[in-house]
Amino acid sequence: MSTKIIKVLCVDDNDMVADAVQMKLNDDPQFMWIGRLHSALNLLEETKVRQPDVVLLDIAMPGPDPFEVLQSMSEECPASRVLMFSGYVGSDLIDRAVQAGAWGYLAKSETPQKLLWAIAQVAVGQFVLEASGSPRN
Amino acid sequence: MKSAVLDDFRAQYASALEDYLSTQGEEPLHRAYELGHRAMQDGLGVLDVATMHGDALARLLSTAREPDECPRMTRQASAFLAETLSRAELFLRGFQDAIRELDASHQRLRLTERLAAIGTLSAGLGHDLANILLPIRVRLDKLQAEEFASDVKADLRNIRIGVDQLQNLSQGLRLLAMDADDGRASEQFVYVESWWNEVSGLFRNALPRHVELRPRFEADVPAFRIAPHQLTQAVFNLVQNAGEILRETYPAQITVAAERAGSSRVARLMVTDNGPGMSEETKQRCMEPFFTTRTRTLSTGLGLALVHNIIYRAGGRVEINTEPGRGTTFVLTLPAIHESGQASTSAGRENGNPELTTKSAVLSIFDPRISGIVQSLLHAMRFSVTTEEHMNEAQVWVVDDAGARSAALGEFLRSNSRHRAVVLGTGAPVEGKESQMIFVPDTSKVRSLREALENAVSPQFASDPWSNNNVN
Repeated sequence: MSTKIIKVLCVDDNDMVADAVQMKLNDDPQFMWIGRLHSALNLLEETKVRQPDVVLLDIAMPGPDPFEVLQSMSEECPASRVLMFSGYVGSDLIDRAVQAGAWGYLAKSETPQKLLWAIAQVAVGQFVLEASGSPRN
Repeated sequence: MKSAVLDDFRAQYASALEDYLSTQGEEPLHRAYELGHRAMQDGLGVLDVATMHGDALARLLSTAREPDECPRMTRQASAFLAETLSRAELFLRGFQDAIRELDASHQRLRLTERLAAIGTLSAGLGHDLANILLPIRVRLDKLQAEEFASDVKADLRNIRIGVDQLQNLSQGLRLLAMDADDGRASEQFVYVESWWNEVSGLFRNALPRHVELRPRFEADVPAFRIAPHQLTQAVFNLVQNAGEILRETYPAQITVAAERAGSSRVARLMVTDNGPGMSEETKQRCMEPFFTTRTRTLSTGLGLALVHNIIYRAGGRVEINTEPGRGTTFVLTLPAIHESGQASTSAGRENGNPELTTKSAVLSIFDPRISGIVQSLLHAMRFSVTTEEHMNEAQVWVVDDAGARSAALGEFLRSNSRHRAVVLGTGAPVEGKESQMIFVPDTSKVRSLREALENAVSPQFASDPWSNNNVN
């Protein structure tokens, strides 16, 4: 496991979820919270500026389709890997995420510890699929 | 039209009846059977036939030479009529069976429609619960890591128990809402004995201490065609449910049995308890979401609805045999791996091929993201991933540049007829070894990759390698 600090950008319209993720990341020196967006609207531009190692990307948000933005991210910012982080799970959503270039899919119902593990895995180039009802579980 | 048909039928019937009464032979009886068949085809009713029979018999009785002959003629004529109506009787019974089956199908359909509606609701509810629970759990983790007075710690533990219950509900809602493709898992299979070895400990932990859990598996039960985790979820719910019901029963026993069914295409798994059984109303309603009879413990009421959903989506069905005071048996009838598939696998062993006891795969995939997806799927199938140096121990080789490795690929496939290659992207098949290769032209779909890998590790693939060795 790399000892490099992992910079994380969170894209989620839910304040409670974003605050919880920030709190969890701040408690672990392996991670650095570098900010939060309420939608995928400016994600591409913000990624180019802030250069996160991992982007946590929710699916059900107002604004542009996160999958379309993900596709652009994969092409223009391949160094920033995207981990889908959603309360919705289904093979169609997982397929869309993989097709658009995601490095993983994590259900929000997984434990906070699993969230940290998944971010660390994606940061070192390991694909993560942890979603109840998905092929992994 | 009907009048002409009736006249002709009447004449033939009277003639055949007369022949039978005079000879008691098989031939007129056969004519009676055929006339009955024809009556149904021509749309004559049972009452039409009975009227004709009465008329014909009356005429024949009037010709009786001795009055003593009448009872005998009447008895024999009854046998003749019964033969004539035997087709109608069979038809009627078949019709009754069909109505019963239709009624059962209708009930299943109603339940499925209700589950579909509840699935949509469940997906939304599961999503919202996850959004609420994550922040709670993060803060709870933080609080539980700090020092507090013992009563506060006890309160936190109780909150944790409540949150974990909600977490289980959230997971359950997701399973209830899982889409058809997730539930289908059509190419995964479960051999009951090895599956039992893995899950029985989990099941026992979910039971009160005094409840005995026993397996009873027939020899040679075919593999169930269902994803292992889904069978575990379904049977776990049944066992846990039975354990709750047996809380006040001594001695208490739950049996998990597996047996062949009449057809080789299905097999049965049964969970039986020696509890108090169910009333007719409970039996009718227990598969509905949120129906529960529990009052002593926390219950989501999702358990049996989940069981139905999981088994139904796997192409099976759930039946309940129960009576008050006589315990309950849940019968899960599931599609099974065909005998031809097993026979083919056995033949492979008899051909002298070494048994592949290690479940491992070698990956030669350039794209690290695709490699990660494949690894994740293989781990879910309980396959370990090994390196090319251990190629000979592997059962499956997943490769994305088949052209450059064609020589090594050929050697791998020829060394054991049970070796499989999953080729990602395009590539030429190894000559003579096409049946051991599966091609996945489009690697952007997890579903395609999963199906290819499942096919590669399925014994049925060996039985029917030509059916479809391309996954799109």
